[in-house]
Amino acid sequence: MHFRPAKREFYENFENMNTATVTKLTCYHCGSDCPPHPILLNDKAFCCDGCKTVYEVLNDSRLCRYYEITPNPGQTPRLARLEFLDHPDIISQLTGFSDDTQTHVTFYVPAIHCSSCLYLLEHLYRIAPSILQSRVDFLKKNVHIRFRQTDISLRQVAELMTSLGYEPLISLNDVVEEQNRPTYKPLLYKLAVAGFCAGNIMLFSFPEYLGLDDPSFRRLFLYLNLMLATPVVFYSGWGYFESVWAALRRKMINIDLPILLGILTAYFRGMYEVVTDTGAGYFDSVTGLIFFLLIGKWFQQRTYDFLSFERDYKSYFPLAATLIGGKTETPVPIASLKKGDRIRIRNQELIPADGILYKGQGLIDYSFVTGESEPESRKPGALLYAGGKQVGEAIELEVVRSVSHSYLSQLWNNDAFRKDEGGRKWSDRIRTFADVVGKYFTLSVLALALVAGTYWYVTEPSKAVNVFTAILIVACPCVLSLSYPFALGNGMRLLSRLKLYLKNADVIEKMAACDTIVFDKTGTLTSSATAQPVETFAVPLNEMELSLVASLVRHSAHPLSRKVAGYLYDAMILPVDNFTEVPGQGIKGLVYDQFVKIGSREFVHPSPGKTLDTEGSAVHVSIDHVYRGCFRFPNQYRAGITGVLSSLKKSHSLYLLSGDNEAARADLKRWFPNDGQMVFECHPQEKLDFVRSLQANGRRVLMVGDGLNDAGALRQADAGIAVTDDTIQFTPASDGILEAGSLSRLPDMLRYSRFGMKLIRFSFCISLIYNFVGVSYAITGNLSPIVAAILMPLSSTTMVLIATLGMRWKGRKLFPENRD
Amino acid sequence: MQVIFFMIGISLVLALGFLSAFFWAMRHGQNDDLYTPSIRMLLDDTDPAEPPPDSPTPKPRNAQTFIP
Repeated sequence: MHFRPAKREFYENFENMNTATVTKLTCYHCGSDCPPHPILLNDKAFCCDGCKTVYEVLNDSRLCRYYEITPNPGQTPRLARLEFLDHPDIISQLTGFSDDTQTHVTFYVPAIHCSSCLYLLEHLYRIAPSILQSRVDFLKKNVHIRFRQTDISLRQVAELMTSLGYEPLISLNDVVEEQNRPTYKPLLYKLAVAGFCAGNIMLFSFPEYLGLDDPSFRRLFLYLNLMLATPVVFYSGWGYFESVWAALRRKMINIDLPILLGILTAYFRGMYEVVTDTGAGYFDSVTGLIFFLLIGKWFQQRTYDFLSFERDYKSYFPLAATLIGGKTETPVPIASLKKGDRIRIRNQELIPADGILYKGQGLIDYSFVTGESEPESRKPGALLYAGGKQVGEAIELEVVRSVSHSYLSQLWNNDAFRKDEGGRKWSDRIRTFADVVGKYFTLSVLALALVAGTYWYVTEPSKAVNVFTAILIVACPCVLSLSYPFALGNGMRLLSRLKLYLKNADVIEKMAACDTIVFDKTGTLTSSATAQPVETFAVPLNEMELSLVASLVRHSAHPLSRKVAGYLYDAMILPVDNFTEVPGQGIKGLVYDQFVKIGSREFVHPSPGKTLDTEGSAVHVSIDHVYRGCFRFPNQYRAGITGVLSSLKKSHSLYLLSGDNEAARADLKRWFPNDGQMVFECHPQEKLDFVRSLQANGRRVLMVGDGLNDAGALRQADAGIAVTDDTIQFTPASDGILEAGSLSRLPDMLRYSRFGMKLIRFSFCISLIYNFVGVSYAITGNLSPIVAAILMPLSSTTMVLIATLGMRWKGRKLFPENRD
Repeated sequence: MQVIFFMIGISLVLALGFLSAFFWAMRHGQNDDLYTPSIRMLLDDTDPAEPPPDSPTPKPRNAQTFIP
């Protein structure tokens, strides 16, 4: 039975040739294409029983508004193994608050994507009354749930969510990361205090500007100013003390030193003037300055929550493993696995610790660790390394090393993965403009102040201290600390609209500084996700034979089967008998009384010694024991790669690293002409070493990779960008995540980041002019508080304006499609 | 003019009141999630007592009488 679209719909589709020319019935729940025999209920079509069941549950609980808010919002529910959530250790690690009546837990649910999700997840109490409350944090994709643990267990809560298609992702990450989560709060507190005090100080300073003479008020206002300025300097400005102290301990001068110097000088000089009643001090300028600087910092800190860069490899690790003891299976936390424990690994599960295979056929996908795209077959007795994923039947392992010592943790514990620890910040490799300038700027300001002070000490000693301090106050390079966050912050926003999500704004400076780009090949330059299968048959299959294949592959959930099924979507579907799926190998069955086998070469038609070495993966077909050929899935270059590489070739030196064999060398010769520019059959550690050796030669390296198998290289590079098809699932610890569709814009993005740095240098020159004016007042001993109070905010606002407008203008020019 | 001392005191207390209100809001997580409430407020909370919109049971008779 075929479903034909209505006539009008057909013409609409005809006009809009981008969409498929034949509309298929889509599932009311999840929106995916329905099979030829959709499941119907209440005049609604469903693609599978899972979707139908969710609909029934929601309909019974009167939650069908779910489907009105967003069309086809659902996710096909998957089966998940959540027995481990019954383990008391795991429960106590996962749950937050708990008392006699209720327990609080926070789940990370990657499937949250629209307002319907929010609606459903916040109405869980209607389905299960023992759930007292559920709140969604949309950007973080978190759900906070309060439930009565006497009526419903943690596992049941998770299972309920899974059955609705919202499987919580529970991993090692949830347990480990809990303590040191960065928080935005301290900065906002400081900002609030600074704003409150600075505003009041400005108010109390007005009489001074206007020349109020009444001595009692004057003194009151001055003391109030002093009182209000104290928390601003020592609480709100505390970050500067810390930063300068950290730099000085490493015998360095950073940009914060002159700022702190200016702040402290202004504060103590003001205090002296107030106490001795000799002047009004510069409290208004200094508190206003700190307020401005904190706004800049806050702007810098506001990153996009929906891409959590804090989730690293630990979020790929399961929390528990299935321990086999006698005849029972118990889930145990991974951390308590010991040498000699026997564990069971099911299809698609990750091997949590190195172990010896003693039962079952191992077919291990090591793409996670080595980058090999083909699963490796292992026989009992083989040593399996942690990090591999079993594809196929369940296997049993005997653990030989506990988790913390295994190969994977060693790889991830490599130095390159710990850039931020041990006092040596990794950004040291690229000296930021601010730090370079900061050093010379500080030294010259100090020298200038000393010279001017000495001069006045000789000619008119009473003015010497005044001039010395005034120079330090007015020459404060606050402008640099303002144009940085605003320019880079605006740049980061624009780039994120172009689907390049950066970890923080500083990455833009690192991107701009890089002169070498290292590409990973598979998954970065190429992708098999979008590839159409190519028919490679000795004798082409006729229509009848194609429908035999199509009928059979429809029964399999394997990704390659799905692709073939999608490719043959218009074939006639015939009933299948005796369908058998051999995990990791293939499928077979009787279609129309013909025996069809589809799968790997060895499975379909074993022919020893005759293996075809080709790139990409293939699905082989035999009909009635006659081998016919295969569907090939070539690794296709992503759209726009030619333009990207030819454009980048002019400005950067390019390198290519690949975990695959050399098949593609000829194709890529155009862009990587020299020897040594392409390295094939690279393991993750070799990729990392390659980047490191480039750096040792003084190169600043931008690594563009696809994720975990080059995670080490991404981290080691001065800037590491992960190209991904799915930003929801994929969040390795890189500096930035680029959606694959935007890869073609990479050269423009790099150009944009360079413009950003030029703009900052330009602002710095403008700020020097302001400083020149200010210092010329100060050097003659005429810097009145009112001049400072006008000059300093004026220069700050100029910097903010230049940075913001400049970055927006350039962004519109380079990316015209991105107007807002 | 002595009233100025008093008024300054009042103004400072008022301003401190706002500051502490902000601190209170921060401490109670009012700034934790600035995005979700904007979606949440658009979702009507339908009354569970209503008949389910997709109920397979036929509508009550009297609903038909209004149809001309």
